[in-house]
Amino acid sequence: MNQPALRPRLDALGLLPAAEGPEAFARFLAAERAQFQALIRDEGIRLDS
Amino acid sequence: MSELLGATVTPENRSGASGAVGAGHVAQSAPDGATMLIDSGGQSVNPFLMRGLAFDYVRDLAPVTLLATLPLILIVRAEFGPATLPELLAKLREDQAQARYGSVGIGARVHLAMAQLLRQAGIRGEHIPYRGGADQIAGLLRGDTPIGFTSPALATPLIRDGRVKAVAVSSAARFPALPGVPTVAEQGFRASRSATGSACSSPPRRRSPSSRASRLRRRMR
Repeated sequence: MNQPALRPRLDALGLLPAAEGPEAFARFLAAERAQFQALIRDEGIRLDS
Repeated sequence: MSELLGATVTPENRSGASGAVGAGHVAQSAPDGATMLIDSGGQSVNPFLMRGLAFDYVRDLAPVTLLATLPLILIVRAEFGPATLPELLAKLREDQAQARYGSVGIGARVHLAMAQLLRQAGIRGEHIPYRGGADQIAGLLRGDTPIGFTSPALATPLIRDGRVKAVAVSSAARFPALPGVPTVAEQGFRASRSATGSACSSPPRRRSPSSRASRLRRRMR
C-alpha cells in the first residue's frame, strides 16, 4: 500500500494507506462494531426509517 | 495484488445491500484463501442494520488486513455562516431545526459520523438520505441540508471554490491535503478513526491460516 506508484491514485481518492495485520484489523473491527452498534441502537437508526 | 501474490486475481463486483451481497458470497465460499472480500465499512455496520442475513459477519469472515482509511470532511454551506465546529454547534444548539444534514443513505458512514457528532453535542438533527454523493452535495449547496460529512474528493473542489467551509475532519490526524482543518477529536469530540475503511477479509480456515491470506497480509504492508 505504500508503493510510490500507488500513491497518486490513493491521494486522488483521499485514501490514507493503513496496511495492518489481522490482529490489528480485528481490534479495529471490534472497536468500530461496538461504537456503531451503540449508536445505531441509541439513535434508533433503521433501514426502513 | 496479482503481482504481490504471483497469481491471477480477478475482481468480481457483487454489489447490493450496502456490500452485504458481496460479503455473503465470500462468506459462503470455500475457506481456501482463493476468495477474498474488499469491503468499505459494511462489516462494521451491516450486522446491526440488517436482519435475516444468511451469514454472520463475525463468524464467517476472517480479517486479513486493513488496506486504507478514508477521512470524512465535515462541510458547511458558505452562506450558512459558521466557519468552525464550535460556531456551527452553537448555531445548531440555538436553532435545532436548522440541524438538517444529508448523507448517501441510511447507515452510510457520512450518516453515522454526523449522527454521532450531533449526539455528543446534545443536538437533535434531521437526517435526509440522498441517492448518492452528488445528490447530497446538490442538497447542501441548495441549502436544503446545509451541513454534512463527505469524502475528500467531493469536498476539496468546493472548499477551494469557497462554496463550502470545512470545519472538521474525522481522521485521527489532520488530513494532509487540508492541513488547516482541525480533526473532530482536536475539537473535543469522538469520531470513528476510519469513517470508511477499505479492508480485506476471507472465509476463516478452520485448521490453519490460508497460505494465500498469510502471504497477502505480509505483502500488503
